[in-house]
Amino acid sequence: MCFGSKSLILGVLCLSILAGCGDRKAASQVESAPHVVVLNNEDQPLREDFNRDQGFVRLMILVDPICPECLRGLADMGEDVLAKLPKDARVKVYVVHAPVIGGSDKNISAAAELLHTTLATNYWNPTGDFGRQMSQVLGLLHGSSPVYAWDVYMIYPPNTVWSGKDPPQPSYLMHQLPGLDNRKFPPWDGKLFANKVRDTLAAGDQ
Amino acid sequence: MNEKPRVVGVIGGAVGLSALALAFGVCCVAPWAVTLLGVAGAVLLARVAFIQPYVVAATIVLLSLGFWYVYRRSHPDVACDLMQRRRLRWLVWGAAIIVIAIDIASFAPRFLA
Repeated sequence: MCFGSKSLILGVLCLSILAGCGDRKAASQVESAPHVVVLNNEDQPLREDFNRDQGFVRLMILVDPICPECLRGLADMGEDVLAKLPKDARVKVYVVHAPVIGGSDKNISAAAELLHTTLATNYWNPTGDFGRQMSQVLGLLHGSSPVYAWDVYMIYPPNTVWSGKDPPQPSYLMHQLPGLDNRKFPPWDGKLFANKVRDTLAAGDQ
Repeated sequence: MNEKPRVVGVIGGAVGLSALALAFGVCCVAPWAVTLLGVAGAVLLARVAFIQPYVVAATIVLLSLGFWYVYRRSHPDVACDLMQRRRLRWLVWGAAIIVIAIDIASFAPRFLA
């Protein structure tokens, strides 16, 4: 067989592997869907939940439920961070889903399954206002242009209180956004993030 | 020796790989990925998207090989089918335009973000 035909077969094979790995089972598991709460324009009930969970290390994640990079972030969060925590770890997870590239609340259950945890609460922000608000809070800029906050992973220590109108500053943040200053905002690395969570838990225990 | 299968194979491979590069390039802004590949497929696509520049490089290598096949000097004792060679050159040039356009498009999300 000539080299050209091999490369053609290789190309077709790569595409078919990608096309064949769709998790249709996960997409159809609506009956085991997690509870999804709709955020209102005052960020409730997230704000209430956040303050109620004082004493826990809180992880806040902003994603679109159909964005592949976000889904990868959620999968890493499930495998590298949450799965490796002790069962009694004082951690709460808030996942805020927004329709940045067209995701809808129907896509949340399949995305949420990637976390493999009962520690998470899923919120749906249909207006996308929470991402704009978080962008201002975090100061996400590309040059002088604001960058919408999504695909962002944040850690809040146990003593943080959401007292003002806007969410508080996290103690640590990672992202998968292009155009941000990576020295100020480190790019997503699940293992590094897991270390930061463990450090925050250890600091909270002292 | 008939060059047609080689040229078609190489050019087809280049077009296929450029489509793959496009899928990797637009994966973070592609709403269709979950519908088409499912959640696990979309996660896999995002995880392997870092190889996109290497896939683009492979398309250029395959294209170069295609050009080499159709422009190299024929062996003197091989009967030369001029018409077929001309058709193959058109095919390679057409494919080159398509592949390069797709390759450029695959990088577009990085610069438009």
